[in-house]
Amino acid sequence: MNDRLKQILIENGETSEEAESLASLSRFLDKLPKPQARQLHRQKTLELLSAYLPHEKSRFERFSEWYPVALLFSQIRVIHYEIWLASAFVLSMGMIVTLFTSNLLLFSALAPMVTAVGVALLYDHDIVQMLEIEETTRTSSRVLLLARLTLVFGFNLTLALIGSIILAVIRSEISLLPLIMSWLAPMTFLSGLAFLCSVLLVDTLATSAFTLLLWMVHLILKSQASSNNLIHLLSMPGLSDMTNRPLVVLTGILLTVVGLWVAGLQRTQQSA
Amino acid sequence: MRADEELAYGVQRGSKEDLTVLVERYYQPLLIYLYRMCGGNQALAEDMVQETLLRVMRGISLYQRERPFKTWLYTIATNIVRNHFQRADTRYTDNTYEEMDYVDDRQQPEETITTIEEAQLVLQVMTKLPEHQREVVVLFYYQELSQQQIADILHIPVGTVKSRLSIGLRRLRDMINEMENSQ
Repeated sequence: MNDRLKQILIENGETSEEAESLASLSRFLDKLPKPQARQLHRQKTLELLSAYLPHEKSRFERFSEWYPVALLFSQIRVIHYEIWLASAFVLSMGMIVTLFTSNLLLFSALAPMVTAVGVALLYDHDIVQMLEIEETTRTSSRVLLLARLTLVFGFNLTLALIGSIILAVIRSEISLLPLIMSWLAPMTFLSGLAFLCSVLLVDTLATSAFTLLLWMVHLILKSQASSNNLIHLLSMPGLSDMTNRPLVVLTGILLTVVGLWVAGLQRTQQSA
Repeated sequence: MRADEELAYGVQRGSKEDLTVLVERYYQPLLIYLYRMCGGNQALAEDMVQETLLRVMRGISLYQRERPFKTWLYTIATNIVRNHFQRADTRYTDNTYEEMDYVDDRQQPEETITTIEEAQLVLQVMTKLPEHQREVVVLFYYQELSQQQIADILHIPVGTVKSRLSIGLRRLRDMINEMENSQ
């Protein structure tokens, strides 16, 4: 008799006698033979299954399948390649000229400008159409735009950092950290402003021109000592002022967030 | 001993070692289960084992570690058996002596015949049992699964498992008594 079977039958509500009677069937059920696995068949089965084994992914493959990374990779192809080339060219030229002239102002002025123009180019009519297509993948337009912003800003940030390091290494009189600080805050602010303008105007030319103009006005007017309040105001004195840098960076981030929010609203209204 | 779920996760990541361990662990139990479900036909049972494991491999990328692997495996195996017997051209027929694959070489010839006759009798009786009762009896008695596990595999309430077990065993008893009386 199978004790386990008897126990379960009693727990299931059978009387003791009935459970014993049913459990005694085990003397009969145990006569059912056990097949012996044939080693050859088992081996063939294992070989067959191995062909279906998922490919063991390398660390890089696993990393590139991580959603944020996969999203960034997918957006690289969407961003106009001219942005990458132009950014790299202009910043390289700026770095070379700075090396020979020791005029740090040039490099500090170029880095924010180049980034702002690159960001301005992110949201044009072509991109709007691509967003419509990519929304079928259920990734929100805000996330897509954020991915593109991250790419462009990150690319220019990296180039500017590399350029700053090269300058600091070659020209010992140049301090690295102050150099980085001189362009990082304006870069963040101008990029945020350019992005918001591009979302509102959907015109890359107008956005680029406006951002560049603003920056040029600031650079020109801040070097002019003037008692005229209007000129002082137009020079945006806080933009490259050391003490205002955290505020400038925060403002840039805020402008970006607002731009993303507006872009999402526009997509929602268009799809409604 | 590593848990089935951990091994399955390893297979998801492409580990052949983990696949080998899983196959070694479940090939024989699956073969026994499917052999008893399809009336003692070892070749058929082996094909079903292979099909079960293949379906596991095809679905391994979707397998979630929270789900017990054993339950998932036996669910697939049970579905394969059901599909096999639902096809019109493979209605189960009584397994004859010539078709049965069991041979115990350790026994004397007259004992072998007796053992085979007894096994044949058990098979006949088991195959006369309705499929939904046979599944429960085989999974509980031979595979030694719990009633909850059987409920998860067959997607039925535990209460239904209990009633099918009792009813199935009573039917077996009645059929055995009938056969013994007629001999």
